[in-house]
Amino acid sequence: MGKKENSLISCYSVAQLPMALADNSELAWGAEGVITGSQFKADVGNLTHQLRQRTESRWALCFDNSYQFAVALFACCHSGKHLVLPGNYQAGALEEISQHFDALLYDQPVDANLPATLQIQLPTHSDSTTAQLACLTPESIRLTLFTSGSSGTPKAIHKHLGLLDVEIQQLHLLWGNQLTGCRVASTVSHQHIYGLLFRLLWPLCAERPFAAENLIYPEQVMAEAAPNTWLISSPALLKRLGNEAAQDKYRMMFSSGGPLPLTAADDCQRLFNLRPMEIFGSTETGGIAFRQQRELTTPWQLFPGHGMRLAADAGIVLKSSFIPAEDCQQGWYHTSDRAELIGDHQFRLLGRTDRVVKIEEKRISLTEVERHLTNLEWLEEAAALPLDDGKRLSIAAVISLSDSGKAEIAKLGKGKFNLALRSRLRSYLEPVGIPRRFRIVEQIPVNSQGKRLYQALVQLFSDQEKEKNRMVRVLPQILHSDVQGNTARIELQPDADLLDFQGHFPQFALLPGVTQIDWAIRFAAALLSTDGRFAGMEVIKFQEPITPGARVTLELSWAEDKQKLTFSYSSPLGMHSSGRIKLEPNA
Amino acid sequence: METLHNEIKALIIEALNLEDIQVEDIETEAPLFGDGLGLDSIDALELGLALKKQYNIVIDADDTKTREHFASVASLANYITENKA
Repeated sequence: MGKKENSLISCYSVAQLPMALADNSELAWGAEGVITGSQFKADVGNLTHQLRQRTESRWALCFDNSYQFAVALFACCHSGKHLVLPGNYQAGALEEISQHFDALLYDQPVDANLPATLQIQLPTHSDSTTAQLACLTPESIRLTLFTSGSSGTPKAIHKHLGLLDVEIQQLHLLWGNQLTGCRVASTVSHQHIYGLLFRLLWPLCAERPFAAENLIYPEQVMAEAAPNTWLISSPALLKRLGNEAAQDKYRMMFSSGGPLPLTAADDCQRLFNLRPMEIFGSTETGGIAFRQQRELTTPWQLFPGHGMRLAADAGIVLKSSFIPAEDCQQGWYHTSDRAELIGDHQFRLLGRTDRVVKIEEKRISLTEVERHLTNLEWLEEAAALPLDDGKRLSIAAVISLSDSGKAEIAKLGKGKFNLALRSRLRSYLEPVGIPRRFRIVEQIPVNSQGKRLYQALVQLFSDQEKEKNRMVRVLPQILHSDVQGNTARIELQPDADLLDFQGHFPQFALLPGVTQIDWAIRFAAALLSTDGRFAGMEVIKFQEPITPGARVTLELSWAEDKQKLTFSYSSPLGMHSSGRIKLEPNA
Repeated sequence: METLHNEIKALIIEALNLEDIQVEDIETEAPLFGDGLGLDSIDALELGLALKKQYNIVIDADDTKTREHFASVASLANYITENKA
């Protein structure tokens, strides 16, 4: 297992770390200065000595500082421990996966309630006794990573370090010649597989310095640029460089964790004269493919040595030496990403086959969001969905309240109630996975088979957008809605700030008849999936005016065969209006 | 200072599209990230851009205290007052 000589600079196997590193090599840099190879060897030896005296076998690593993380990782390797890398450090999330580890190594205190778990903070200041370090057998070092599965609970992914070693050598063959004389800066954490490989293990194996701390802001990314620097990054940052001015160039930029918008790739080209190398992969599979995006349709290039075909649902089926053999069926691994093939080694991505969405680089399971929402005593039902507001993708939720939830919202008001809901979810979900927009309904709209009406859910949010643009609201507040087959019953409260009340009439505001008909058509489209425009009306009666703030019930019934929509508005005052509307298909 | 506090709160609501949240729902001393408002890492980036636009402040790339400046409305107000270009 000597140094590989087939690229410009050599690359060690993780098995040889940290022993093979030169004492005077610059290993990492950060707020605390430069860390050398000899310091790293001493720190690993020291912690290994401590860990060898512990009987706990599975060790969770929770670190902000990548150098401290590297010390912990190699000390665990050299003391025969099983490595556990939680996907995030939210207290509730750590508690939820606590059956996967016996002890915890950390740098910043974690406030999870883990009474049965030994916890050690780094750096430790114990005696300087150091352990003898011998060559590792990477295949025997077990590693557990976590990702959001479609089942709604964090999914543990089991690997061994040998798989990562194979991938590092492959990365080095592809791009190692660009690494000569370079240092590696990063905006991504070492806690996920992409960061673990690109910002930490690969630089270590290639004996190139890596940053102990992450860059967080665009200004920092611009300031760090230098012809001898690599940037390991993600779309979250790269798509926000558009307003920056070019300073210096990076030698090489990588992006992974989610789709990179073409505009972001173009911005990088303008600023750095370089398009980011995008890596497509997952925790389960490691790297799958790469590309430099020049146009939206730039295909992905499979890693050399991988094989690929498509399942019946267009899901990618992969043969890869980065995937544990036990996860494969006859050597093939089924992913949840859909694609179209272009030849044998190239493809374009089409989306996911499950209920998992990617927000920036985080995989968010909608099922998991819903599970945590409905676990709260304030809620009865919850439906989570991704919404794109033009600037970013975020999670929205349609919820129904329990009696205690209704009491709470009456006490707090909607704004504070939203904040309280978000705060309750914080200990279980990543910040980007916490819903930021809520719609409260009496029941989640479903079709006659009990399936949720996705379009109706989206509609609940899109109308709000229109309202915002006009600064006054055009649709009334929905207090309650109930859909059964081709009929719907909606309780509404038309507030005084509705556009339709303005100037109608100046002395006595009432809801125009034409608005009542318009609402009937809009709600029918949202809840009963009618698809047509106004084509006439019959037996229309306006009996009692609807005034601002009144609570009224709109009943809708759709006769598809006749293409007629029957509606009525009523309240404790009696019938306000009723009639039938003829719809004709949209041209 | 209170005017600036309310201005920043309104900017946060506007820039981050926090619907249903009013200026008075945001507490001046409460954390913006983690507890309190519960903003995420993307919000931090968007907020940085919005502040730069509104107040013409430049975030110092070498400033290791960036996180502290963004801790609450109060700390942002101090930072803006000190750095207004």
